[in-house]
Amino acid sequence: MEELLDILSGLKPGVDFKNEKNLIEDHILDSLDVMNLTVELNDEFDIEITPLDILPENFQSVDAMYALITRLQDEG
Amino acid sequence: MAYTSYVYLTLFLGITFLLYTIFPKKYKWVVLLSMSYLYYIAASRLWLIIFILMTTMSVYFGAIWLEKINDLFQSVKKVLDREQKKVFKEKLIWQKKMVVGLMLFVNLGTLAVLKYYNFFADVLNITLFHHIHKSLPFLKLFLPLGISFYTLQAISYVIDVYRGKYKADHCLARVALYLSFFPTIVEGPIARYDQVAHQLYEGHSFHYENLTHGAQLIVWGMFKKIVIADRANMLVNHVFDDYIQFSGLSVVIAIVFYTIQLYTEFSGCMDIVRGSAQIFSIHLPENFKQPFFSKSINEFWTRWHMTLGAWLRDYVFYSVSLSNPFKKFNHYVREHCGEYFTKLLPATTALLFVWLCNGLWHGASIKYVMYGMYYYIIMVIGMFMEPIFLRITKFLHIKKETKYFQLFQIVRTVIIVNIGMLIFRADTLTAAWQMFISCFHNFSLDFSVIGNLGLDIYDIYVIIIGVIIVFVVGLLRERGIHIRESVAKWNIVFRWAFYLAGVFSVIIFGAYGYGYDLVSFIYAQF
Amino acid sequence: MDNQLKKNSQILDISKIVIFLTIFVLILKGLSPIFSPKNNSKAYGIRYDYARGFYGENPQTIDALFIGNSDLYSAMNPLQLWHDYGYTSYVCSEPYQNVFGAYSMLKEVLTCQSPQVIFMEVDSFFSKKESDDIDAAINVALKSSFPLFEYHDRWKSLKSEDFHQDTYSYNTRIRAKGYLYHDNVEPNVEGFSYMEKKRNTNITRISRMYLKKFIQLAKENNAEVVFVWYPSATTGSQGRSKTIKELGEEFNVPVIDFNINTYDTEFDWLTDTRDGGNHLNYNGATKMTKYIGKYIDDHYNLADHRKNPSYSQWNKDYEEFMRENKIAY
Repeated sequence: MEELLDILSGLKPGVDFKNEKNLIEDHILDSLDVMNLTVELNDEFDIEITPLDILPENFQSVDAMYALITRLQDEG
Repeated sequence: MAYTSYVYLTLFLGITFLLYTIFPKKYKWVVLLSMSYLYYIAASRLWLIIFILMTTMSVYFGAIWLEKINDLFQSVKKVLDREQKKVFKEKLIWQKKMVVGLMLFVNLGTLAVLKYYNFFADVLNITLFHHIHKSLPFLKLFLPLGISFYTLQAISYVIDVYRGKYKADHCLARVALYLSFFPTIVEGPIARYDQVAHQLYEGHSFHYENLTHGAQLIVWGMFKKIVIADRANMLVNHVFDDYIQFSGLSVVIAIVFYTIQLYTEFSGCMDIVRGSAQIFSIHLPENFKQPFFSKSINEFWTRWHMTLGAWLRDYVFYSVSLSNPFKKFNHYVREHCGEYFTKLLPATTALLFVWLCNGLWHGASIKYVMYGMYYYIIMVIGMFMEPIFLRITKFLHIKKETKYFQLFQIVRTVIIVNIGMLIFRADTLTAAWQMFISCFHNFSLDFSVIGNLGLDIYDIYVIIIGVIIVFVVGLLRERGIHIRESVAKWNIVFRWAFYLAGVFSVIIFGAYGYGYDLVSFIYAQF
Repeated sequence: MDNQLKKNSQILDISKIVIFLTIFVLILKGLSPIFSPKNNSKAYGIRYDYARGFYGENPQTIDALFIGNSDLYSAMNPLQLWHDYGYTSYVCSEPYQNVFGAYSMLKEVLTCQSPQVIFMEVDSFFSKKESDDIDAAINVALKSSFPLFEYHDRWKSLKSEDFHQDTYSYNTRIRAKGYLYHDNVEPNVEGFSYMEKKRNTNITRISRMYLKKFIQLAKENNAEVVFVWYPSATTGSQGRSKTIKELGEEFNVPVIDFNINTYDTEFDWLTDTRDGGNHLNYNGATKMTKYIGKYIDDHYNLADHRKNPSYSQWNKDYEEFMRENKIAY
């Protein structure tokens, strides 16, 4: 979780990722951010996020992202 | 059979609605499917249906084939150990890739040959064959109606099945209806299979609110198309067809009017399309969300022709940026460049593909490629300059949250979009450039020149009032107020007076008939 | 009980729709006279005033009628027919007129005139798409039932008199009786070679239906119909001429086709067209009209009104026309 927060604040400094629950809907993260984030998450957690996983609900909040990462780690 | 024609609005929609209402629930899809093919034949040529049939068949069987491969894996999964499973999985993924590749080849290939052959031949003749004194011949090709739209829908279906978003559909009629549904066939919206296919196939019984709301949406679309766009079209043609004669404010007005025309025309058509579908209780995705309230170009393209933008994002941007070669490129950048470039280089490279596709999708010519590149370059500049902009705003003590700054951002976006529209509309790139330059010649704020641009003063008034109405409706929607729902709560006398005033304003102030030529939808040719 | 409720609410919904549409139609009916031009002249905003000058002629005085598209008003000169034979005729020809427009035009004419022969120009019979023709038919039907659809754009010039119903006076005469004079020459050097072109010979079902209605309406009013096709390099072809011939046989209507037969008119593509083959000029019209006059003389029993004092205006019109266009006579 801490790792994830580090990556996020590296990507977009100044955003309160801990408490934001609508990152996509509120246009805090756009498709470019999601792409950069995906690449970093793939490397950092040794998972493979496919285009299928790129749904707004998977990136809406830190918790959602964490859930995605754990799910993919289990599958791998 | 244009969506604004009498034959479509009265006869075709009327008969389809009656048949749909009287058919038993289980067979209502038969009405929609046969009327969709009837529409296709009536609006196009009989033999051109082979192309849409071919696309339908190919993705229908392609998706089932993909599913068979998945099932095979599931059935043997349990008997294999981890290592075997991995090997087997990779083999199957390879097979699946081949199937998707074949689907893309067949469908994009058809589109490429029919729509782009002459363009590519031209490009190759100029660049390559020029030196060896050979040339590819130009062909007279027919472009099947709606091919740019139904091909994208077909591809989204097959890729989604490949990615495992949903299962292949074993009902051929449902896939066929999804690809050929008559309101969407000419100009979109580019709907997704999981958004509409089941809605289209299952029968909906008569629903008063959907019927009346659909009809209202059609009238609103007609207002934008017939009253505003077709009128503005006359001024736009007058100036663009003979642009050398004009300079200064005249050209600026023509460009702004073209932006008005394209927006009211395309979004008006979408309202007619969505209204037509709503009559049958079918809800199509939105294609416009008040794009002229955008604060950046990036935002503009998430509110203008939204279904195209979303399609390019899901099937071009993510396909490219999550592909293996691209991952390697990403790592390379990460290891060799600083943080600044690591953040921007991969993203901007992936975006290049998106904007190339966007430009080419709009038309097979250098002009449209440049149209895409124009937006690409503006976005890239915006991304690379962001730190500098931040510093400037900090230095000047500009608060980004103030109303004035947001207004500035909106005006800036509108200006950039207008220049984009100029490229889009001008006959050639040279013409666009010359018109852009001539904006600054003899410029003065003498609005009386508007009288010399092919429209009388009454027509100008109608356009201005029409645009104000569209603006106010947009502003209300931005605030979350929906006119149709609000009016529905009024007392019946006021409500009906309002509806009748709407219908008669289209009939009386519409730019149709004697003195106005029938203007076909701009987007239908794509 | 629930079913009954549902049924009741559906009946209510449907009656609401019916009432709404009725009000809509009533308003259409009510607005139409306000928007209709109060005089058949250009100044009052009538559509194609030259085709509608028959309103201004004395009632029941037009014996021969010509209906068609722009090919016709370039090829038929009623004043020449008057001068040579004393027959009264009128050319009701509008640009791009189609079969549906022709039918509604005939209905207009029959409100004040009773022609004995109707020449129908066939140039506009051919079209590609059924759906486009159905659209055109609905369009014409709407316009004739609710003139608001035709004259909606007159909101720009509405005057207080438009709101009074008793101000109609369709009394404007058109001197040339629908003929449009052009004397320039732009030769068609290719001559009749256009006849060998492959052109779509399709006449849509709805067009046929309206043709039948047109002939029926003419018959009911004791008028005979003749199909005529003036030379047209932009639309003619062997295949089309054959179709017209068959159509004539099918409907039992005589056919005059100047594209396959010049009928000794000495028609010459080098001198008789004004735009390289699309439309005829005055030279061409003179030759065509001469033949048509002879054809009427041979086949029909129209009266020679030249000596009739109540038709004296026609003599004045002829002289005015010749003087205005500086033609020696």
